[in-house]
Amino acid sequence: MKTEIESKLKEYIVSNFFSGDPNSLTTDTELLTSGIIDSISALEIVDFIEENFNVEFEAHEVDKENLNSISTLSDFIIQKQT
Amino acid sequence: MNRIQDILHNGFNINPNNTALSDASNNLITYDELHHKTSIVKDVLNSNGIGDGVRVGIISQKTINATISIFSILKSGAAYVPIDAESPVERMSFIIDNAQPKAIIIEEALVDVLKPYLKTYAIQIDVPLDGLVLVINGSSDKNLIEQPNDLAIILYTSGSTGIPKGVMITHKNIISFVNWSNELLDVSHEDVFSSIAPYHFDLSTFDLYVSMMNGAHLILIDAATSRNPRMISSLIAQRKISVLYATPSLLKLMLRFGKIERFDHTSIKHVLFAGEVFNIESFTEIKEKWSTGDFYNLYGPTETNVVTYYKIPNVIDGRQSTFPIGLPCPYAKSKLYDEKNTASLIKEGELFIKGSSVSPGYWNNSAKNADVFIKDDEGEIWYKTGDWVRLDESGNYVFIGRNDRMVKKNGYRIELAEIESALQKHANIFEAAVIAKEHEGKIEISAFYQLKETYNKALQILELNEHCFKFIPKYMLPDKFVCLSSIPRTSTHKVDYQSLLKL
Repeated sequence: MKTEIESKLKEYIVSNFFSGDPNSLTTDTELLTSGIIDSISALEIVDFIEENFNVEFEAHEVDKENLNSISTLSDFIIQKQT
Repeated sequence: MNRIQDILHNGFNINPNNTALSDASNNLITYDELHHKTSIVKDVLNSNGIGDGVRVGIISQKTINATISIFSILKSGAAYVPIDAESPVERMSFIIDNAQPKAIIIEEALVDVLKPYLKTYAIQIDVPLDGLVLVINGSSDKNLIEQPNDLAIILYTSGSTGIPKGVMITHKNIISFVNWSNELLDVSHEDVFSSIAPYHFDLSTFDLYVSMMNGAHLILIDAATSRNPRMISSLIAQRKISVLYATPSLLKLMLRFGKIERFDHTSIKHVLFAGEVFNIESFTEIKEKWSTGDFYNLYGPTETNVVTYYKIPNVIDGRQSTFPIGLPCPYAKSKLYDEKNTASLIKEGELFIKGSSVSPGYWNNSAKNADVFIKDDEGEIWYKTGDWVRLDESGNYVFIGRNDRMVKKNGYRIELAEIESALQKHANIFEAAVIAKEHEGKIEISAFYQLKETYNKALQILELNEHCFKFIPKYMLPDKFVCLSSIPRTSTHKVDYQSLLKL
């Protein structure tokens, strides 16, 4: 299930925010700290996840820890769904 | 009331047990504790020679202790110089050099980063404020420039030559504004204010001092929290925030990402906005969501603080696309000049302002002072705003645009020339020209550059951003970089900005 979520997220990030070679974006690539996504893009990702994965972020969960990579995002989604 | 300290004392007297400050993580401090702590820190400052006639820098994230520092500096008799802790060190160092503070209160984590720039600040004193250190300039006690004895704050804004300018704000400036705000709004010790603007931004003076004047609770929203509108939404609901002052950009972010409908925001009473034009469409959306609030459009450059205001009527005139900036505040006098420099009864022109909220000038920048702080025949000083406005039928001023090439984006004033000068410092850039245009209701900054002949590969966006960020703060970074074979010129060989706007 995790790989499915990850590939959906990657597809979204690549088509909206990532201008480099898609193969260079791994599930562990740091998104916020590397500057690949800025704070507004991060909020867009949160909206995308809420709309597509049937989960809701509490206000304090919109933070660096959850948002910094495709992998941490997927973990968050799975943890919320179960 | 003569000094900001009197405002703080007023708040303390209303109800010492009321919460004065709290942060996003729910740390809090009462008025009594605040009074006690600021007295201790004030004594430390005074006993180290910090008081009347000197300036103290503050470089920190917005925290309770940073706020205590600011109040303590004022109580000591000194003026404070807030410096953006997120700005490039080169900019911080420029401001330190220009402001010549006797001492600086710095976030512990930043001390090492700043060390190379703080050579003369060799004396480190313990202050009873976790996470902050006090460093003192031991080399010279002499002020190179005389400080006005009423000086309270110096706020640094962008300069046209690529150099930040320090706007001096006096106690009188703040007190005029706070007294008026207090009459305009229905506020008391039961209100809960939000502090969203950073302390180096002029909007912060409303949050800090109108709340303290009333003995009210002020919620400190730090930079990281302010980038998460959902967190602001949550804080409004949890802490029952009733007074909120922000830029239209932030309010639009609240609309888009704040998930307002998931929270109870019926505590909202007064919403003030300033710093840029709010389009009526977005405004109407937020007004519907915050139906318990009334709304004010405030106007004024940092140099004058708020000088005109417009209370938004319940029924909005559908023919308008933006709101007027309104009528002059009672402490401000205004006049208009047109191109012919005639101040006769014209209805449209550049706005000039005088009055008790107007800054006495820029700190340590006499050349610029002569350009924009202009003495009239009676010896009174008018500030030349550079803003083109017109008077409408009902006597309200309506903002038309900037006279020169300054733009406001997300509430920050940006001098396009400052971005150009940053880009031109790049080893492979021959020349740069920067323009701003409105795109889908937002200001978009495009940077055009021409490479040196010895180099012929377009530069990477990441590299350009990194380069610029050495010289200018993040909010000034261009939205777009375009490499051109040559920068277009007018017949008089000036940069042809008009043709760049069409690209």
